Amino acid sequence: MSASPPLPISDQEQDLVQAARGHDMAAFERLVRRYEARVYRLAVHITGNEPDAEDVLQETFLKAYTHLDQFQGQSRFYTWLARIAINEALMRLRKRRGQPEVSLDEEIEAGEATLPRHVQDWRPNPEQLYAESELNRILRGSIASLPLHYRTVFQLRDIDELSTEETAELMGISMPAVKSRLLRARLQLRNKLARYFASRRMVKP
Amino acid sequence: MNCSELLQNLNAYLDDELSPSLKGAAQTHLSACRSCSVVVNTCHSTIQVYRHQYHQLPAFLHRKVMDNVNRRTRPLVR
Repeated sequence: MSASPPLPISDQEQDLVQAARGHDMAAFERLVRRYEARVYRLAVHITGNEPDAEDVLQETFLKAYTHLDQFQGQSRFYTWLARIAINEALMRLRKRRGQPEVSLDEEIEAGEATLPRHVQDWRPNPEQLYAESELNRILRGSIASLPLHYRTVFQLRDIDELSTEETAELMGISMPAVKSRLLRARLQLRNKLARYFASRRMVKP
Repeated sequence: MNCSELLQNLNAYLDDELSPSLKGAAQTHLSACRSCSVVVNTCHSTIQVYRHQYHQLPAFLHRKVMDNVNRRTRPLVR
């Protein structure tokens, strides 16, 4: 897949990487803080459970630290980290399921996404939202109930805000596949959340 | 643009990647079609809710990450 040249990483990030290569742990810790939540969520979404995700999180940053020399600065630092995390997470998943063939490029079921009807409109009120641990549970449960390929695409594109091209490259799938999975993921999640918001009347129709 | 054409372009519309003419056609359809505008609004809300929810890692997990790196790379660091 060739396309536009990759974005260079920011100067500040490049400085942190450079310092971390020289064993400056404070610089490395700033990189960790910047990306740890994303790496952890990615690991949760792929492995489907928090204990494995914790292991993946730790291994990812350990490998990142010991292999910093291999980061060329041609891609964003997060995509480099995410690649390590995806490999680690898939390895755990294969081990757990006893399925050596688990990957992110499996074909998924055919059929067009349908345009859902009769769904109430809703718009969350941010303060109300984030105070509610029940909502967090619903969000986690909803995304966890999506197929692996959907939730990974959704995280990389919509939560981590990677481009379609970066996501395709990381997952080893085509850009059209990223787009179609993203559409399904968005519609499915939206349906799941609609049920919650409609039932909670946190809805301004 | 009809409903199924809107659905085909839903991602691009949400990501603001449509050409000006397609975007205009989508907006015309949306202003006339309540169902489609609900779909667009709630998809947008879904993305926003998730984006804002996943912001920070619990402190104990952060410490585990750093302890692990420190412990297992000590010979390299010293």
